[in-house]
Amino acid sequence: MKKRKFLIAGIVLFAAIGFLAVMAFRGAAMYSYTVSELLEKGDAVLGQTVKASGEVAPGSVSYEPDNILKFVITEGGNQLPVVYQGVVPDTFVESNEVTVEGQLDTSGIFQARTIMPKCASKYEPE
Amino acid sequence: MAQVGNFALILALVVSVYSAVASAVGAQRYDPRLLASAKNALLAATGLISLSVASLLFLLLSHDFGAVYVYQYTSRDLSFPYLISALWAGNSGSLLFWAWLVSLFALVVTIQKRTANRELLPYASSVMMITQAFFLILLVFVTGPFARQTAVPPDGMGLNPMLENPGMILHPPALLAGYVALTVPFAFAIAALLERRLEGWLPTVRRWALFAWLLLGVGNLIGAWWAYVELGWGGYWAWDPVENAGLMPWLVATAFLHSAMMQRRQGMLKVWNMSLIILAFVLAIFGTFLTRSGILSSVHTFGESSMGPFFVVFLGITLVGSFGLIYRRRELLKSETEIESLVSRESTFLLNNWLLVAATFAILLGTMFPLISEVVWRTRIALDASFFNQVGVPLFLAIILLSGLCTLIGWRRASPGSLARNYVLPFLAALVVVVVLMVAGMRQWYAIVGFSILSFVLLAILYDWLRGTRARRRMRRENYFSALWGLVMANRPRYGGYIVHLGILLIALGVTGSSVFATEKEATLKPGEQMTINRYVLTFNGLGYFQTPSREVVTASLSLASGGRPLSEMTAEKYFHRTYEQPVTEVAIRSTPLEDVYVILAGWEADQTTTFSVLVNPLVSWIWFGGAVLVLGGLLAFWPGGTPRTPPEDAEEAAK
Amino acid sequence: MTVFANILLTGLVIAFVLYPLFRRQPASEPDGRLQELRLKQATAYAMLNEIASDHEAGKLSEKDCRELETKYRQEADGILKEIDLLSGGDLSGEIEKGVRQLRRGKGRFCSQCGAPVKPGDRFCPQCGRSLAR
Repeated sequence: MKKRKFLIAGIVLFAAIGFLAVMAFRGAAMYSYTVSELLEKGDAVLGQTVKASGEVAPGSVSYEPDNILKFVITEGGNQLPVVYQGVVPDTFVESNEVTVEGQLDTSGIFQARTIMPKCASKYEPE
Repeated sequence: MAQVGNFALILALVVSVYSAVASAVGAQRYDPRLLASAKNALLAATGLISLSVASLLFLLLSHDFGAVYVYQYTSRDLSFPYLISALWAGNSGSLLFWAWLVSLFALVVTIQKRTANRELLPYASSVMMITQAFFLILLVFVTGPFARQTAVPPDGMGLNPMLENPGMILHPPALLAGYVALTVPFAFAIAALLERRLEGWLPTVRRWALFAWLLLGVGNLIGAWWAYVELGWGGYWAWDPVENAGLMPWLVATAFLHSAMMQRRQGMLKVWNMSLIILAFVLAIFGTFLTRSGILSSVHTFGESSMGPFFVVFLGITLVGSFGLIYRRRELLKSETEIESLVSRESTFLLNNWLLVAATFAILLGTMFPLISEVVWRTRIALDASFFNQVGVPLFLAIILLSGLCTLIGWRRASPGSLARNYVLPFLAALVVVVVLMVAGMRQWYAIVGFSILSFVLLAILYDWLRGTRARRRMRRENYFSALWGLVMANRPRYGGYIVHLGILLIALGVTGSSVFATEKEATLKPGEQMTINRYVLTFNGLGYFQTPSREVVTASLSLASGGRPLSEMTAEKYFHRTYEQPVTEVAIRSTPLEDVYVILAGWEADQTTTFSVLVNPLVSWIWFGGAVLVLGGLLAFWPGGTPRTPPEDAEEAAK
Repeated sequence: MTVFANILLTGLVIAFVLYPLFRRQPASEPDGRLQELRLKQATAYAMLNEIASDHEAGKLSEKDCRELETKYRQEADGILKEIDLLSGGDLSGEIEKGVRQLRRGKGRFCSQCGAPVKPGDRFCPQCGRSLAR
């Protein structure tokens, strides 16, 4: 009897947590591509908020007025021009890996909402 | 020196394997000579690994840039503390540090005077030696810290300037030591299973689990503080996989510390406790693995990494082996008693445990989701911080609420009458808080719920202390102060635990305040111009520039005022390191108990037009203060002794 | 030079690790079961304390408190009997020591088992007997 009570309590609890997770998942899930994958998808991802990751191409970074940052990320031989406005994280350096989050516009430029360079406290994988 | 260090590692590997085998065989055959030899092997391994660490330190301090590790992580201008910290700043160095800590903890366990559970020691040290051998295998065969390059460069590449912060001296060793300390309870759990002695092992490992828990907590808090003051994005926790890797074992260790009480008192939850301690250990190894194998950027980088497969094999063996062992001992692990009532302290503990484990799995799922989706659907789907916040916040609030409910509920069963009597005061307090916040115009219901739960739990704890003090004062005719002191000192683990709960409440207060009410504003100003944010006015005074031998620094000075009253001068900086391309932002923070003003120097142009990002983060300092309280409570509970050994009053006497 | 150091190190380690194998049998270890019982005993007493303080603080009703106390006291008594059985005559030495100390006027002792008692104790730390003044 008591066991059943606890069983029911447990089931209810896990159902609630599962529900919570599914709801949270809907708002938080986002496709994450490498530069080549993103370009392969082409028009299919237009207007969708996605993540794209690659290496910041050396020599491509330019800081422009109004806090606008333009750069190119490369991966697997493909290039993706990115425009971003806002505070640039310190770890954003040429040749470092970066993940940008935003949308690809019709002219093929990625409008980034956030840029997330690889964190400095991480160890280099070997 | 380098050759000796490397050779010591190889020898340590051989000796550790010998020790693991000899103590297991010795324990099986009851051969004291073999056990003594295994013990000596363990001591020798500790000595050898220490020798290896010493020689790496020697290389670092003598600027021997012929050693690749020294070249990659230090430079001549690095100050002494950061040279030491370079020991764990890099991948192979940190693995060496791991192995060294395992050997040190194994040494402490072996030479500790032990009245109970001596027969568990051989198997336990065997498990620790296997773990140690695993890390030595990585160091010998995969990534050696003593690798050399033929050309000796004049100077090294230097430590990443972001890691040049006092927090970074303490954060990695605290977290690593926390991970490693989890090896000890795990080893004793496995030994207890092997020896079929499943009753007495818990008290032996309680303090090790608490030690690990404390170190992990300190490590995570310092990491959060470092992110806040150094990374310059205005927050302290981003649900980054690296952060999650530190949080998950801490959550499981928290669950274990609570459920261990249940087994100790009533012989329940034996399988659950075993599983928790195994899980905590596996998560510790997994955390080490996550941060180094590159598995998170993509399955493909994992395929290229040479270390990943080793970890996968070790984790697989650990999981299958230990849960298989639990299954084989299932008859011995039956509960002695059952929970008597749904309304009892036991069931609040149990529920709390479920929630902690559920939160851990949710975080694990979220962290691993890009990987899972890549394997299953061939597309990476990343979850951003909102997933963790939406799942985590309700769970953590529920856990905190339960900690308050549990304080005022008796063991085994609680009568409705006493419950009503106990809860009425805290409940009213929570209600008052809701009303006051609503009247004050707060409409963010998350914050309202959060603050009311916090005040409920705070009152519950204080009320419990008050009643305990009163009862003691009555019985012993002491004054209030000495009664309170006596109460805490008479049962330090228990009251240390309550102080930890208070610390958690303060941290939760800071987190709620800063995540719900943070304001951010960007502004581009010319010298002399002003910007306003909330009740503050910031005046930009101008840019400055200076050089030190190793860096070029740009400073922006601002004056902070509120309501026409000048408050403070703030200087936000950005500097460029000589050897590192990347700029480092030094934020300016003015911290008060109520809120922090946080200024980031974002960029500037030739005519001194400068862009700032300014944040007002309410209540953040309570997180650090709460962290200090948490450590204090943890230390109080950790300090030896302090558990009552004498039985209390007879029932008849209590009734008088 | 390095080779020499390495050979020396290896030799030392091997000697250190293997030397216990050629020594006489070390003395036997104390009985584990007894230690385990002592731990259980301490836990039972801790439970009793907990119940008393919960009762004092109003978290346990009178009836529950009595019922639980009886249960744990029985459990503690059972453990104590088993300890006595296992330790056999060992306790006599402790009692003698206690009596000697008592003669010298140091501290008090339990009237049931003779274990030393601290001034603040109201119960014997060894057997749990009430030390009502």
